[in-house]
Amino acid sequence: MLWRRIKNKVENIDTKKRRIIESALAGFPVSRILNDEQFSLPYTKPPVPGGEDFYLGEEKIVKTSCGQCHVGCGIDVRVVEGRAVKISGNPISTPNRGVLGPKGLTGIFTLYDPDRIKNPLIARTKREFKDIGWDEAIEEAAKAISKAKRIAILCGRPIGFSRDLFERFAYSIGTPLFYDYYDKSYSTKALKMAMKEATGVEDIPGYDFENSNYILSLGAALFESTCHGLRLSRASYKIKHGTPTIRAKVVQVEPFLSLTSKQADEWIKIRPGKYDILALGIANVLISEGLYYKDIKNISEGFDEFSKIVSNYSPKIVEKETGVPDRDIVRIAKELWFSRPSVIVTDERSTSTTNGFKIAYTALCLSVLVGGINQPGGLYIRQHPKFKDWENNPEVPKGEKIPFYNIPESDIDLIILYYWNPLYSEPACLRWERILKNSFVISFSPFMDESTALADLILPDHTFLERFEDTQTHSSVINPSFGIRQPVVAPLYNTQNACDSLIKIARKLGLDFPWENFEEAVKERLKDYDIEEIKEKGWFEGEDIAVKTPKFLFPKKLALEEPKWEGEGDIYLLPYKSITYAEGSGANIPYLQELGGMLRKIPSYKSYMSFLEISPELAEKLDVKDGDKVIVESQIGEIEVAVIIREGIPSDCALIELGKGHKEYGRFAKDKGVNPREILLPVVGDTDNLSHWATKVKIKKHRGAK
Amino acid sequence: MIKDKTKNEMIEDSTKDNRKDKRKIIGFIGSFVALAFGSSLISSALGFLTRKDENKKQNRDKNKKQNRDKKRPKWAMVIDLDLCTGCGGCAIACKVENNVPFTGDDEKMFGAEISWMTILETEKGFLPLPCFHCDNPPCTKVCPVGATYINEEGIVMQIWDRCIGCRYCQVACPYERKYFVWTKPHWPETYKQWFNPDVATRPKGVVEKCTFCAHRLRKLKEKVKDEDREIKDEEVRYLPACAETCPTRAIVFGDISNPESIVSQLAKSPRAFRIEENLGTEPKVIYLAKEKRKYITEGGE
Repeated sequence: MLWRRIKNKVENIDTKKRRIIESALAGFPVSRILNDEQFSLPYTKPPVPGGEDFYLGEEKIVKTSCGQCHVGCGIDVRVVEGRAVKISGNPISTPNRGVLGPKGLTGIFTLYDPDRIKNPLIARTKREFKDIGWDEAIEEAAKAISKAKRIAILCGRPIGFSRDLFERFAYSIGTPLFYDYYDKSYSTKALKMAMKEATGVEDIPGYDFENSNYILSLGAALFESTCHGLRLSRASYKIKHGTPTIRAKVVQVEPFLSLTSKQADEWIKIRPGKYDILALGIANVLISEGLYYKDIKNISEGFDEFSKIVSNYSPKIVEKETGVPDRDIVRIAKELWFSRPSVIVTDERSTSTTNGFKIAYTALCLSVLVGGINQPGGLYIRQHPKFKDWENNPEVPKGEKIPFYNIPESDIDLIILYYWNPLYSEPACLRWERILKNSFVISFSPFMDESTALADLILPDHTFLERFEDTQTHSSVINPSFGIRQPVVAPLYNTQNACDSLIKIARKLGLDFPWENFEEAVKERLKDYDIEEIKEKGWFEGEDIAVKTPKFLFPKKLALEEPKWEGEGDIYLLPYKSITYAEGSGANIPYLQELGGMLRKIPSYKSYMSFLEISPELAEKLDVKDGDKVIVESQIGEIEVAVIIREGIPSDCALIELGKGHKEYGRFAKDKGVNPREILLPVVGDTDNLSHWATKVKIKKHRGAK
Repeated sequence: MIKDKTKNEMIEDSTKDNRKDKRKIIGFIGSFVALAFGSSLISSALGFLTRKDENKKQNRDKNKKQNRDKKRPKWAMVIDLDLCTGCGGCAIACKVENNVPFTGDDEKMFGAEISWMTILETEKGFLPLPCFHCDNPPCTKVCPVGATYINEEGIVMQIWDRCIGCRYCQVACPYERKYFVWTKPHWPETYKQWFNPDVATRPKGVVEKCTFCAHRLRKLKEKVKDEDREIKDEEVRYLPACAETCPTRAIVFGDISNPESIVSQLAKSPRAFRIEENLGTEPKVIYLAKEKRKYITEGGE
């Protein structure tokens, strides 16, 4: 500001006076001050939008919520002269309580990504874009939607008002083809389905990690990328340290030595996808020895039938099926009981085989068997804050909702993409190229990802640090809580909140969207709350609502099936999400890419590439060394990837990290590594979603390898 | 009448004059002596006084120094490895706070990574490695230009403007906690917006390192001075960016010279150890672990 004032004054001086001043300044040319390029003081940074409101050096903390994953932790953003400089945790927010993991910390790189979409774009032909204005763009979108007959809306968010707005839009225009987060292939749908079946509550389970003494994780990526994520990490402060004599024990059951198994107190090796049988085996020991929750018959139904089912799974049989020694099964069962309260956890990784629903259900049964529902340190029904509904919510339109994996290649006229990149994130993802090419695609993505590159109309969204929204957490948090996401900085480019754009389109189409913008719509639902106060604090946490504990329904019939593995190969391909990725949305952040390398002892420059992790035995069989290239092949394609040889991986399994191999998505992600989803076969699991762990592949040594 | 004066009289006169002169001389001498004596007295008195002043000054300085030594905290960090889940939050927080550049995917950048807070994967768990801020630092002793030094509060600092990039200190550090800036960081233009204004970006060709977030400490000190009080232990407990963000609260920071601080209490734990203690560097980063031995051998790599 001061600098600008000096500059203005200097500019107004006439030449005579300037010469006098110059001579006074011993020949220092005043004209040079005017030329910023030649001479600039170190603090003349390029101006930022919204920077005028700050005086030089002014800084403030803005409270908002993180949007890097669906958990939505409360964050404090340090803003200096209109620039977001540092993100740290908000001490009162429920999921994180003042701390923050690596993904949340890199939120500013999402905001300042160099390859963001800066204007609304329209494509004359696919992949060739032209800038248009917002009014025109909204007009075009409305025109396309009114013309289209079959519209599919892909809204990749699990919870929140923006999801509800997209749902309302879908049902208002009369399409049943509305897909949300739970239709994605790597989601918590199995947990939600199991909860609905067992308790009638359609929600993911809540776990009281803070108060439990024993955590049995059936393949859950507890210390990696998971829906329980940060909260568990935070709770592990208590888990491991809280009481010096009794520390909670974390037992990880998993086919391979993952980061979580490494950090857990004990790692138990199991064949891939056999968690459900193990859970029943443990239940068998508990029931046969009479070690179960005393009120089990009062709080549940079908216990007798369940014990009958369970009686077929003696430890010996389970050992044969799962590969877990019977001694260990008995021991874990006893430990579970005698170190109560204990909790049995599953997540999206453990349920990514075709029997995901059964894994989630048996884990719930085991949890209830040991500790009931809504008991401290155990399984909880999550409580949600109560919001007002919007008026005149449309009914679900009649018509068949085709499962997401079955969307026909040519029949859909228009596809709306919000928080979803199907061309990258679905198994057999290359199929989506044809679907997207055959229809008119409207994308709200702020980044040029694979699917957006094939869009016909792009209405770029703000990033999460620029928009107003609510934040409801998709994690195992129990207390009713939510946060408000508010603009931290002024929008950097000519972008618009996707929900605002949607409301504008809807009003143009004459639908019942009685709000000028999304903020009004949010405020209508939050009428009972003091929004200004929540904005100031950044987070709202309600008191415990006395929820009536529902009766738990044990399965009357439980036909356990072998998890399906398709493909002609003999190696199980197990793709997994590492701590730094959420479905590829971290790949455009170089810091996260390099962190992934650091945690696996890979040099930084190599951490942008993909690696196939195999066991020493398999490496010997294939005759490859560390860093050699192999070809991984399934019926629908092949990928070329370097290997890392690691201990702790079964010889018939190969691991590969998800999140790399983008073909678009900015300079840091484009054309680096491989995307294993290209060769994953579309195998449908019992959750009616595609499964990520269902492909057997052939691995060959690359001919060009040294 | 003049003629009337006899010789004798004249002699008398002259003697009178002489006497007068003598008196004058004596007076002169006397006054001189008195002056000299007085001045010497004064000067000695003055000298005495000034000496007293000097003494006072010295005393004051001594007191000050003592006070400083007393008051000056000794900053240290405790990292609980049993709590660490290896999430990498500390490493990222450090990079964001201190404007540390990323490496990029160019192969020629092999070995040119800069990461003040590194996480080393070991056989059992992860080992976060900031600069150890040794009490007896080997790196400061080899610097030819005084660019790296240990300050009164035990923080090993690096003055980037003074560094000539000889890398002696990098070689001297047994823990490899110093990083040489090999290339100009390749930030995209938009990334420059998030730079922390409190920390200078480093030019190519200097050595940089962890500073225990000294700029945050400085800010806190200013605040404390304004409010005319002393720094509380709770205020600094999670002060560095890594400690602030750690999801498991495994990293704790504080004054180890204060026996009541959490850091010095944790440092007394039987689980406490320091890496390569036999080198005599006396690191001020103290680790806690149940199975110490594994880490000690691992950390020595």
